[in-house]
Amino acid sequence: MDRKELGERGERASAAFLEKRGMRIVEKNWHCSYGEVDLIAMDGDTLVFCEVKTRRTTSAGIPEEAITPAKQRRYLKLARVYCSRTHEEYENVRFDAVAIYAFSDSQALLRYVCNAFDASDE
Amino acid sequence: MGFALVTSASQEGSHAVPVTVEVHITDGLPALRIVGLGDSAVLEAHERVTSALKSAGYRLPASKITVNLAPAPLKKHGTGFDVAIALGIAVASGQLSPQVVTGLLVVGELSLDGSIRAVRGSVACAVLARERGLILATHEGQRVAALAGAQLLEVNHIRDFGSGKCGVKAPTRTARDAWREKELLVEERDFEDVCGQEMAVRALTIAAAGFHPIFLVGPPGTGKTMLASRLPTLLPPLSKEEALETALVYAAYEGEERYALGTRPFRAPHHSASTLALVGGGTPVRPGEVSLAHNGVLFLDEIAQFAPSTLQALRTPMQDGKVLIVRTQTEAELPARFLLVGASNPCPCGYFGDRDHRCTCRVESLRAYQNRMGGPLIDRFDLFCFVEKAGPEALLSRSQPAPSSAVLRKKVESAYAFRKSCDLLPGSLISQSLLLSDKMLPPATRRLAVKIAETRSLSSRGLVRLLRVARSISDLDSTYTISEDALLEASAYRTDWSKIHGRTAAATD
Repeated sequence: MDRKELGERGERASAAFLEKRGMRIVEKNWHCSYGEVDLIAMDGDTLVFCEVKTRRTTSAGIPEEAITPAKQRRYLKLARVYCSRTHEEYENVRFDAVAIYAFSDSQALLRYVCNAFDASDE
Repeated sequence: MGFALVTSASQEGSHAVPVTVEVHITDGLPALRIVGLGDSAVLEAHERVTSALKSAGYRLPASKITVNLAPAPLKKHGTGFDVAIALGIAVASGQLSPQVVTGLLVVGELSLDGSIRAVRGSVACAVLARERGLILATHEGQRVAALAGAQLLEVNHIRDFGSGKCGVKAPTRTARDAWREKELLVEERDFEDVCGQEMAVRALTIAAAGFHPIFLVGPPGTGKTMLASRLPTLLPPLSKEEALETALVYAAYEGEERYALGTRPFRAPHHSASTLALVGGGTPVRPGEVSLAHNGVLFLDEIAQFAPSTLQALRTPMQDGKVLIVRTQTEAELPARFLLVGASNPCPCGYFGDRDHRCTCRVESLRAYQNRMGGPLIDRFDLFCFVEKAGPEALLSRSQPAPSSAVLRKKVESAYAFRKSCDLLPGSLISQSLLLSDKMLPPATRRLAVKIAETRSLSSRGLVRLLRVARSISDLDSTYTISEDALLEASAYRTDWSKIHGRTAAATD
């Protein structure tokens, strides 16, 4: 399994996980010139931007650690762009993260961080 | 998820204030955030702490860690919080029991491998630990803990906290004496090297006995600097209280570690020094030369070359024995009781008053030179000594060896011992009413004092200063009453610029 396939499988698993928690997936791999958002979902009246990170080893750190402050700032920018392009008004906006540690081809550990970061770090 | 409190301290001027390191671990993306107005050295603790914890075998929790340094509005400086932050994380994540850190004042910098480094200013922390009844946990804290009388937990590595390898201990006897031994090592200069100059040596002995400001005037090459730099060797070793005071000043200053260990300070700032360098200032407040010379000698060579405004700034510290440095953000009071030695040529060409050279200065330039220092400052020197050229025989024949520093210091120490037995203050600090009391000043001496004051038109301050010097001479002789001889000798050191002027006028006529 190559890196691209691993990433796609991780995102599929994450989408299934979020739906199981009662969210409605709105967009997968939404992108604009600023970058890409892995998953966009609605949790009630809250718009959720979700970053998915899948890793096979922890030699470079656990998957959560890959969601760096720089990446968080990029997500904030992407959220603004998304909101302005959809011309909709959202009650709340939230940023979540899903970290997947795949220790074999058939087994993985998923950790979901609700409200992982917010605009206060900007 | 987890919460922990560890007590640490921050350096403010020459004392330490307690800082509580709060660590809170919550769900979220892994991050370590340090808040509480830290400077960049405090914020860089992030990297040191994470590496040190990992190297020492602790687990760094993969959660959001918030560290708050309370009180939050106080600006924090330096690397002393590293160990407290690391311990806080270990406790908050359940890897260490909270009991390990209760009752401790933790101060130290972390190395990436988890070993603990000493930080400057640990003396101030030791004093704080004693006042608060805490145990100081730091590296190489033996001497400072001994000096401050604090209990010590000596730790070299962060993993030692959990392993029970380190036990609380009172400083050992060797540590208690260490600062004293160090003092005796620093004696590279000795009065034995001085040839002739009996009068100047005597004047310096009196200055040392009573902590009197002394002014040495003389032509170039007569040995003013040589004499002044040997003055610290006349002073008895610092008492424990004095050593602590001096160490606290040096805690707010980088460098010159030996003074922080109990050596009498000797400070000789160059005459280009600014007012701030001399009295202290800046943020964080750094002590100036007057404070760095606390309990020691402040030597101003070529004093006439200092900026007049800088010299005038010395007047208040000389009078009060301390400086209060006030800035908009901070206020710091630093001690500044020093033995001032001024040295100067008598005139721009340097040969005014010399036996063999003719002074080539014009009267106006000479006046201007001497006026640079201003009357009010000149007036604060108790002893005034003209350093004459030693003859070639004195230099080369060496028929009479000069007394060594050890011999002279014995005399000074006997004066200190005498004062202690009579419960007196040094001559420069003794209260005026006691100095003028009948018990100390017998009628014969009183009559002589009146006569001297009249013939030399002394101001009342000048007269009191004269008596103070006579008091110190009596201390050297171990007599409670001031004799006429002592007063006469004291009056020999009350010459001033104008006196030298008169003397040369006579010589050139």
